[in-house]
Order: sequence, then C-alpha cells, then structure tokens
Amino acid sequence: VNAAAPDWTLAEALVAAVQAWQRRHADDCARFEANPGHRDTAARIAESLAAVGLLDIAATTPGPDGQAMLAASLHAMAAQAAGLAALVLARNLAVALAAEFGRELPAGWTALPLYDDPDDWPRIAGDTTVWRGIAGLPVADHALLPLSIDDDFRLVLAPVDAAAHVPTLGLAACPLADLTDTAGAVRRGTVLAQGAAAEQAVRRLWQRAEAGAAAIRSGILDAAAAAAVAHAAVRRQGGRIIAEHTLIQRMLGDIERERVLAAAVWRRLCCAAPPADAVAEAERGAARLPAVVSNCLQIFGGSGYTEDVRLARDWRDATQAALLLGHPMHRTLARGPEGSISHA
Amino acid sequence: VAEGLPLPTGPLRNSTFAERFPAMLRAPGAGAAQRWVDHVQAFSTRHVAGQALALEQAAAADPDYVPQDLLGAACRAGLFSAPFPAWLGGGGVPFAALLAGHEILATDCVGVANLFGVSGLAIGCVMATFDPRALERIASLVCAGERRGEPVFLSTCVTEPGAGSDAEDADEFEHAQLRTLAQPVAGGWRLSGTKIFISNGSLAALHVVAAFTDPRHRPEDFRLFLVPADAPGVRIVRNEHKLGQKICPAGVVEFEDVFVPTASLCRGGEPAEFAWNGLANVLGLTRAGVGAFAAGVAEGAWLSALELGSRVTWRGRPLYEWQWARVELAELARLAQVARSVWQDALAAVLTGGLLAPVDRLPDPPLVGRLLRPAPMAALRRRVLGSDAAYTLFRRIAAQQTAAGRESACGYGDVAKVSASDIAVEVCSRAIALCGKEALRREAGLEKRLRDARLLQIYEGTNQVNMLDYVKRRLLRQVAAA
Repeated sequence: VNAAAPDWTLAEALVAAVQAWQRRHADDCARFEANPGHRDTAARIAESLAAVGLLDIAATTPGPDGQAMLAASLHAMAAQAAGLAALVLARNLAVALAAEFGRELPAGWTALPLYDDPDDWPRIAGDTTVWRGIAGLPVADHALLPLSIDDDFRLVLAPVDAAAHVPTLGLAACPLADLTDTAGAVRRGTVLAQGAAAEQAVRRLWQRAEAGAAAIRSGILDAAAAAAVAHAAVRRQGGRIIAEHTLIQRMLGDIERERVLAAAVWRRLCCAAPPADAVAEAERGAARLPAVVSNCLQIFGGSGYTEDVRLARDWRDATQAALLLGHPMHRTLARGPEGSISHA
Repeated sequence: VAEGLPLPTGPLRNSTFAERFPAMLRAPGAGAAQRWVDHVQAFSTRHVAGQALALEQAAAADPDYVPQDLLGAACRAGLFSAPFPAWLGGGGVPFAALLAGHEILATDCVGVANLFGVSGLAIGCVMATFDPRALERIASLVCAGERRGEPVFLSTCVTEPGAGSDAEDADEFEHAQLRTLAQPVAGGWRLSGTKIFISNGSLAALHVVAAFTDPRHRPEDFRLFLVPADAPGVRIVRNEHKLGQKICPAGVVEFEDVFVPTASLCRGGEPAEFAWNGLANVLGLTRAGVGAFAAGVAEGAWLSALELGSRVTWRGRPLYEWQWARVELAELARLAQVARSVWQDALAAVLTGGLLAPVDRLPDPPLVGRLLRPAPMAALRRRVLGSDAAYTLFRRIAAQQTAAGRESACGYGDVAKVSASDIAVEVCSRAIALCGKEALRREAGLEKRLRDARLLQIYEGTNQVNMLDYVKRRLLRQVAAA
C-alpha cells in the first residue's frame, strides 16, 4: 500500500474534513490564537481534531500515505491558522517517534522541542536542567524529549506541569514555554528508546517531518500571495490599479514563482525516499520564505503594517516557521564537508 | 580566527563618538556634534535601552498610551528644541549630529527615535517653504513648550485612505486619490479631509497639513497649512494597531470643515514651485533621516546578536566559539557600518546641494542666536520674522539653491532610505537566524527590532516608490546631461 509515491486521494479526503473542521471551529481557533496559553480551549481543539483523525496520523497510517495526509492537512490548515498547524505537526512528529518504537502517546497535545536542530538536543550532566522553548508545553500534559544523559541518547516521555507561555514573534497558537526539571522528572520519565541506533532513527524521522514543516510554510505563502494579488487588483496608484504596473507585476511574478516551488516541494517530500534536490529545495525555500512573504506585505504598503490586515501575521508566522525543526543555517552546516546531510 | 576561541564575557559598552562617527570628527562643528551625540547616548542609555520592551508592551496593550516619564526626560534633555537654530530659540544642534542622535536612539529603540524624530518631517516641510513666519511659529511653539516641561509634537498629515506614496510625489498628484480640500473663505480657508498613518497624530499640538485648493489636485493647487490640534473640527479617529514601532502612534486624523486663518498658510513662493521643489527638498532630508534610523536598528541588532549569542550553544559549545558564527556576526556589524556610511553620504548631499544648503546661508547663528534666543525676545523675533522683508530675504536665500543640487540630494536620500532600511531588515533577520529559537522570544528583543525595522521599508514612501523616484532624480537626469 505504501509504495514510493503516496496515494493523494486519501490526503484529499482528509483535507476536506480539516477544512470543514476549520469552518466549524473558527471561533475557537481565533480565541486560541489570541490566548495561546488557554488550556481549556486547547483541550477542546485537541479533542475535536482527534475526532477528525488529525492528531495521530503516523500511528494510523504509516508511510508515504500518512505523510501526504498530514502534510496536505497542515498545508490547508496553515492558510488560516499556521500556529495551530505547527502544534499539530509537533503532535504528529511525537506520535511518529513513539510509533517507531512500538509505543503510544497519551491523548491531547504533546510538548516537543520543535525548533531544535538534532545537533542541539540537550546533553544532561547535572541534576537541574532547563529545556528552553518547548513547543506546546503550555497546553500539554506530557513532553517527548530527545536528549543525551552521559552521552547516551534517550527518547524520554515525561509528565509535565502547566508552564507559562513565552511570547514569541509568530505562530502564536503553537505556544512555547521553558521546562524546568528540578525534581528529575525527565530523568525518571519513560524511556521509549535508547542508544545510537535509536538516535539515528529519531534523526531520520525528524528530517521526514520536514514535509509537514514545508507544507505549513507553503500554506502561509499561498494565503499571503493570494491576499497580495487581491489587493493589487483593487488598490489604485498613478491612475491605474497597481496590478497594471509592471513593477508590481514583477513583484507578483517573483512571489508566484516562489509559491509554486514551495507548493511542489512539500508534496515531493512525502515520497518514501525524498530526492536530494527536494530536500535541498525545501531548505532553500525555508530560508527564503520570510523575504517572499515580506514582498507580499510590501504590495500592501502601509496598510500591510497593521495587525488588522492578515499580512502582518503571515509575515510574523513565516519568519518563525523558517526555524521549525532547526534553522536552515544550521541545516546547511549539518551537510558537512561531504555536501550532504551528515545524519541522513 | 580559529575555531574554539572563547569570546570575552561581560556587559556591552557603548561605542565612542570617534569609533562610530569618524567622518564627523573632522567636519566643521565637530565639538558641538560630539557633545550632542554623547548627550543623546547618555539619555538613551538611561531612559530607553532598558525600557524599550516595557514601552512597547504598554503601547501594544493601549495604542493611545503616552510615555509621560520618557517625554518629561526628553524635555529636560532638550530633544524637542534641538533641530531649531538658536536664532529661533532652539538648541541649534548641527544636522549631522541630529541624525547621529537619531541613530543612537534607534540603536536602543527605533520606535522611540521616531517618536522624537518624526517632528523633523514637519519641520522639514516648513523649512522647505522658506516661510520665516511659519518657521518662527512652530519653533516658538515647540521651544516654549519644552521650557515649560511640556512636550510639543508636530505631525505631518499627507497620506490619505486612497493615497500613500503617491501623495508625496507631484508627478503623481493628478492621478492620486487625494480628497483633502482647502476652500477659500473670508479670512482664510475651510479644510476638509481624512489623513491616515499620521505619526504622532494623536500627540501633536500642531498638524502640518497638505491639502489641495482644487479637486483636480494639480501641483499648483498644493498647499501646506498649520492647523492646531485643538481647532474646531479636528478629530483623532483612532490609532492603528501597528506591527512594530508601537511607541510612536500612527493615527487617523480627520479635518471636518476646519477654519484655517490666512496667516496659517505656509507661503512657499509659487504653489507649484513648492510642490515640485519643496517636496524634493523635504524627501532628500527626511529619507537620509530614515537611513539614520535604519543604521541604528542594524547596529542594535548585531549588538543584540552578540549579547544573546554569547548565551547560546551550538553542538554543545558556545556559539561564538565557532568560526562560522563569528564571521556571520562580523557580517552583521559590517552591514551596520555600511548603512551608516550611506545616510552620511545622503546628508552630505543635503548640506551641499539640498534643503540645508541655502539654510546654511541664513544669518550667522552664533551672533543672531545670542541676541534672539532668550525667551523675552520672542515678541521681537515674531515681529521680525513675520515681516515682508524677512519673507523676501528668505525667498532670495531659497533661490540660491540649484536644481541639480536639489535633485542630487533627493536621489541620495532615496538611496540612503532604501539601502539602509533593507540592511536593517537583513541584519535583524540574519541575527535571528544566527541565534535561532532564542531570538524568537519577545524578551530577547531581536524580534521587536525586526518588526520595527520592517516599517522603515514602508514609510517615507515604500522602497519601490523611492527607486522610482531615483529613476527621475538620477537616471533620467544622467541621460539629459549627456
């Protein structure tokens, strides 16, 4: 069933369900975006998304089909609520990691260091450890943490207490918090996997999650580009709508080229073995995304700079989304002297 | 630089005047410039650096927030009166030092720099009319307020709901969707229209309002009026929820059948002359000022990256022990230095051929200043500068400016604004990339710098509009010259 290329009909069916979910839960999504530390709203959203089947795709549909279902859903979701899409990505990556080792996660949101490059996973030496910027921590009851204790890799599932939300630039509905483990709860947590082979497996799945991250970026760009085109069609300057100015046409053309590339790359990453050029293109696209969405904002001029227009949020989200799963600059370094991802 | 070298630790120090502005050391008035820059640095360190995030938070919670303590301190520091020459009762700070001071403030918070700097746009507009009566009026308002400890802001009301960058370009006036009209009535004018994105609009005591006397809004219909904020019919509709620079409010100002007496019209020679030449003069100066803001943001961003990155590890080692990270940080500092050079070039063009070239030929400031600066001389100053003779003298001074100097200065302003603002955004973005997720946190301050910097690519004309202007000021003139 899970051949090299995914079956996109399954993905399309789930996308339709996700879009219907977004229409039904638009108010909850807006409330959560405005107050991302609100656990009741978060729990309500998690429960309803689980009913759609969006929180544990890796467990129910492993392989490329599941990759495609998740990525396509995140793409659709990101156009409206990119932060929530990132929170769903964190949950599904955690589910995939647990499933890799034959384990299941508790229901609800899972806190995960979603912005960490694998080279930055913590190495524990002392008794007290602080994990900074864990995605989903303010709304989760448990965290999944890849870490090393005395240079021995472990994937640990630990119960966590509610932690204060740390405001960041964008993706507000994927709230970050710091995990302070003074009581050694993480050390005493459930070890799902251990050792060098487990680390390689976790790194591989971390990289595979790039399909979802690229889909979120593509969704943000789709929405921003559509807004820019719509604005250019009505805004007048120099006696004409600005879409008739060749300077604006060039800007929109540049945006469209990047949008098409971004839309293609996450689909290619859903294959069983993503081609190296797709991986490289995703990396390049992530680095370029903030500037491209910034160009969409520029089409709006001053009105794009107010939070009343979605472009301001799109730009903030895009800038933060570029750092999902570790920053492109760090991933460039991870290619190493051989010119290929060193931990692939 | 080898891998593995530790970075020195400790608090960051401020750069000295000589380190930061070496080109100004040998310029005339270097001593006064250094005194002003050091003064602003001390002000910024004490009142801005540690408060920037809290100020932004307060303004985010309430767009109408007014930082009273900061404004009081700014009055005591003479930030409001600084741009006015001594003979107008002001601080007489050299323009190069003023812009350097803006850069210093922007290093800590460009929103604060804009809060104090954007009155300069209104001052520039009035200066560009070469109307001594109008200039004296705004100077006495600001300087007397500052002496009383009351901050007096000036706003510039140009952009409208349907007209942004094109509202600043005489070539585009007739096509622009400009609606603000001034209709002549007995004893003055009746002004009606709505202006948007007006920086400090809600704080201003006086609005400098651009309006047209004919709905065809041709360049010859263009006028500038001085309108007190408390004039009947003037209303602040709201302040915008901006993405950044939140401490400097941008509001919607409505003028509904506002009576403006004849004396409140800025006389700038032939109206069309001001539309073509005056605006070019203003943009040359103010776009250099945006360049200074941007250089400050870039400087602040690399310093933030230095500070934040010293607490960040990568692959288990401090970030700046890695060669690639050190060189990236050096790149950011390099770009900030480039931005500084660009605005200083633009200011040099403004001083030699732009708006400030004829201003430099005004009566000798030290002597006249000592005579006219004291507050009791205000009445005499008003009488002298309101006279026809003064107006005639100022027109003669204005006439000494050449078209080539004006166009060149405006072109340099375009380049300064575009280059430095792009650099500011790039440095902030790369600083965030360098420091990773730590830089995304609001408490780190870098994401605020990026949000703040983004506005620099928009105000004073979008960067695209600036480049279209540069086509006119530089490229097409080059062909004509050949």
